[in-house]
Amino acid sequence: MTRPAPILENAKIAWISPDSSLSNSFRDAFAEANYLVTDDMGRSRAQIALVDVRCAPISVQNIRKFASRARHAAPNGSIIYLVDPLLDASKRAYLQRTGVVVLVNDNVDHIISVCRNYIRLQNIAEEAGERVKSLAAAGALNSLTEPKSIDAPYSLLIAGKPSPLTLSVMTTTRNAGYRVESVLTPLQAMNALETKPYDGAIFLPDQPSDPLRSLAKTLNRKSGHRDFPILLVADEGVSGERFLPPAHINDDLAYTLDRMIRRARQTSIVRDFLNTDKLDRVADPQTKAIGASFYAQHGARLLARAKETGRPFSLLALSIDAAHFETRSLQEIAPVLIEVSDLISNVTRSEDMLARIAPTTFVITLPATLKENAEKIGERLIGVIESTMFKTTNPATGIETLFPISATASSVENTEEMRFEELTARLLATLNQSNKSYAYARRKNT
Amino acid sequence: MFACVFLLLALIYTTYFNVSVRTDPLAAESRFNILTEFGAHKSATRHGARALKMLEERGVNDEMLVPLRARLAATMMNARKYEDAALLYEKVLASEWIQTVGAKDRAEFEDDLARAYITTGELARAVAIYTTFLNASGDEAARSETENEDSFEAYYVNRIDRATDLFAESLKPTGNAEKFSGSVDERLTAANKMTELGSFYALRESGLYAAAGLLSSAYEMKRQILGIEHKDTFRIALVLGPVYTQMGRLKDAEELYKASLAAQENLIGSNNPDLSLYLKLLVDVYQQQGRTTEAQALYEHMHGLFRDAFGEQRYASNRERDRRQDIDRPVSQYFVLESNYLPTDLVPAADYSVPVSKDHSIDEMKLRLAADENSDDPRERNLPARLAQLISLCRSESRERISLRSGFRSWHTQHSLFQRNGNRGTVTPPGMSEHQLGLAVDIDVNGRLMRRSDHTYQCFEENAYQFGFVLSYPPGNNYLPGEDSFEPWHWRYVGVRTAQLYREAGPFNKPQEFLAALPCYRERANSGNVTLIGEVDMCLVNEPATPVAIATSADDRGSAATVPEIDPKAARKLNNPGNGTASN
Repeated sequence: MTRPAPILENAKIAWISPDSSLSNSFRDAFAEANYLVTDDMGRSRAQIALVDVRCAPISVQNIRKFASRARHAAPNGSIIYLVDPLLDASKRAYLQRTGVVVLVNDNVDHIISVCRNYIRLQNIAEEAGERVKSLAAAGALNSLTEPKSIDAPYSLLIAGKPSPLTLSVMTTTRNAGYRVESVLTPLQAMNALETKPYDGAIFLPDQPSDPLRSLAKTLNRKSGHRDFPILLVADEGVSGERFLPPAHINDDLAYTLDRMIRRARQTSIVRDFLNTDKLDRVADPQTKAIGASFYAQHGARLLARAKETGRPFSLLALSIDAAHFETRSLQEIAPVLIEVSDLISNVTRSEDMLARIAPTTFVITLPATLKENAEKIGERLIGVIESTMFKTTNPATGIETLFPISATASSVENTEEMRFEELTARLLATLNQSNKSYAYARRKNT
Repeated sequence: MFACVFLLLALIYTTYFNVSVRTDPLAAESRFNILTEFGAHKSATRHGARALKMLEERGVNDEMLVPLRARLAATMMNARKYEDAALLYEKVLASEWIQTVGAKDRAEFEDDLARAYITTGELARAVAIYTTFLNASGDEAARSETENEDSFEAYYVNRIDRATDLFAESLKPTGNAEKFSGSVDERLTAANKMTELGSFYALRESGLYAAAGLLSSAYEMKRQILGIEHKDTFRIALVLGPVYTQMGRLKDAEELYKASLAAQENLIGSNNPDLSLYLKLLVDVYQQQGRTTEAQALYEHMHGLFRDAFGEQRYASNRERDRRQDIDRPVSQYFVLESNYLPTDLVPAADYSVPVSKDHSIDEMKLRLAADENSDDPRERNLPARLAQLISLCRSESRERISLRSGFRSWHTQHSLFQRNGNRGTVTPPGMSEHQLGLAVDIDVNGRLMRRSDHTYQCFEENAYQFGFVLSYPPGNNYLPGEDSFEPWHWRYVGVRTAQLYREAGPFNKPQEFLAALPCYRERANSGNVTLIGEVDMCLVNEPATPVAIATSADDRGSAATVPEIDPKAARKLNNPGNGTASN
């Protein structure tokens, strides 16, 4: 049996355009960013469908046709429409019903960064799914954190001096369905944010040295507001600031805000999942693996140290074949899990941390390790696990069974300014894809 | 007929009596005195209050009324009329008359007032009063037991001790920050005082609940006002954490240390060995919870921090000098020093800019030079210079007056001190004191021994290891005869590398055991083969358990000097048995 490479290929992006023209330069730029963009998906499925409607006439019929093709190419992925910045706002609104609208010229980097963000969001969603699986396995579904209703209107704080611009921002956001409260000074803004839970904030600094800019920076440094989305309405912003030019308020403010707030909410949901103490029950106390809560906490610490020292930091996920575990009781598989965790601990270094965050998913943090080496470690671990015969005993009959198990691995390296939760989500999404590829290859071979 | 007359007379007398105690202040006061004497406090307070009112209405000088007010307040305390009692005591303590009474009587009034405040919910005021007691009690408050029961200091300590239950009843052990209101400055001041008082109660086993209530309220207030990343907030966490641990509230201790560690990381970065203090505290909590995998992960992280800061070969250099010069020699009831042991390189600490609290020329203000020829920086090659640097650093951080209270003490000095104090308090028996080595220092803060609630203590805890100092008597040790001998003021120089090794790989709060098994720990650190959490620490397996007899007279010094009672296994591990700079 030939097994596909355990470390997965890059994320796939389907390219859809009226004339199906995908330039080589475009393809190369994506390849350089580690994405495979293709206009011919065949039977495979993409993570994102990019629909280029810049040169196409926008009509209801056309949009339906594009949406249908995109949905077929990426059934579970996002649809991103690339549109001309001068496109009429009503047509953009219509496109937004079926996908995400991105205003672009010929800047490929911008499109890549948008894709990267959406793949990140998908990974977060995948991670959420993994956590639900873990809870189900532990019989602890009732310990799910309280869901944050997406339907509830977003509450928004607007801070800025009274001006036509401020009035315009308030009107736009109110019309978009936000629950808006406004304050005049940075001090009032600070008090409001400390005392009330807002989903996001818009600051309107009227000059480059406005204290509102400092407040935005300070808030994002505080642990309680680190992920809090703050949008500056200004003509320009310094590094790290999210800003929107005043001229774009009418067209893009509501949409940009929506994206920022949704991303922050989803990240916080993943964090809540990882930090729920009850999830620690997922880890068998007898294994040498730690639980999700400590993994999230200590992993963030290790990542921060890696960033500070400029060393690489990789995560390696290992999924052992779930087929054996679906037919056996937890009592039977517990010794196998312990043995697997022992095997992993023996192969990895003492500073590598092993966590078990789902019934059959292990994650290993690898400080000071490049992705290439993490991949090698993954292959070695797979080799060790697959060349070991595991033994289970049926508690009812006392019959011992010897069986091998297979495993898949995936790894990610911290190459960008990503949060630990996002890195984990990306890792698990890659692992998920790896598992699917492996299952597909096995079906094909048999 | 006779009965009628008797009844009539009785009626007349009763009428006269009732009229007189309502119109004549002296009669009312007399009635108040009689009822107080017979224990009818409630009725007595009525007459006393009336007498006082009548006297005030008649224009009697206010100062003349103060003694009556004081007596009435005491009766009201007995009658459980705490609010009225507090008002009267406030007037008494504000009068000029109070200057004429003795210090003990004044303290008695203040104590009653504080108790009344606690009962009426004015906790901040009560805390302020007891903090003044604490300051007045000097060194007595630093000990878990009073040394001299008859002293003024002991009197104050006993008064504070008496309020333990009241504080424990008034404050939840999880804290009641909302009970302390006022401006930001007032709340911060109250939080500081609560920390001082809570640290005092934390020394006593019966005071754990009061300590937890006061400290957790103070922590919450500091956290709300200054934020989690403020040094003052950490300071409280360092005292509150062990209280939680002692109470078995390991989850609370874990949360406290986790928050402190995260805040420290934000402050000083994620790759700083100074994080090791909180990492080690957290590791200890995880170990107690049986969460060895997590503890091991943190332990590995800490090794990584030290590796980055001090290099891969940080313990590889030859420390023969330390062994030869007794710098890492353990001294306790298990490892007794010879009576003729005398260091040969003593120097006045003041010559090296160490602030001293006594005459700089006396022996007690001397320290060993403990020169290190291999040190990179010639200015840092000796103990006094490093102590001066540490004190200078902590003085700038804490703004407290820090000085050397006691350095070298010879066997004879220790002997006479021990003879004078006997087994009371924490005077170490001769031969068991690290002061005889000339390497130990007692630190004085603001004119009294350093306490756990001092900013200086926090600074020493965080930084002393970088200057070669370790805390000799941590909480719960058994290094000296008697019960717990926790001494936050007593620090001992063991050399910079040894102190780093202790912080990185040594057992938690066991400096003597560590020093006794130092070669084992050093060998392990050099080979990178550190003990895994949850496994038996093989370096400590043969830990000595039998204390050595105390030599209390010159005749039996010889027997102590030969140290015959030491467990032979432990003695083999003792890295420098019998040699050193002993003189005859």
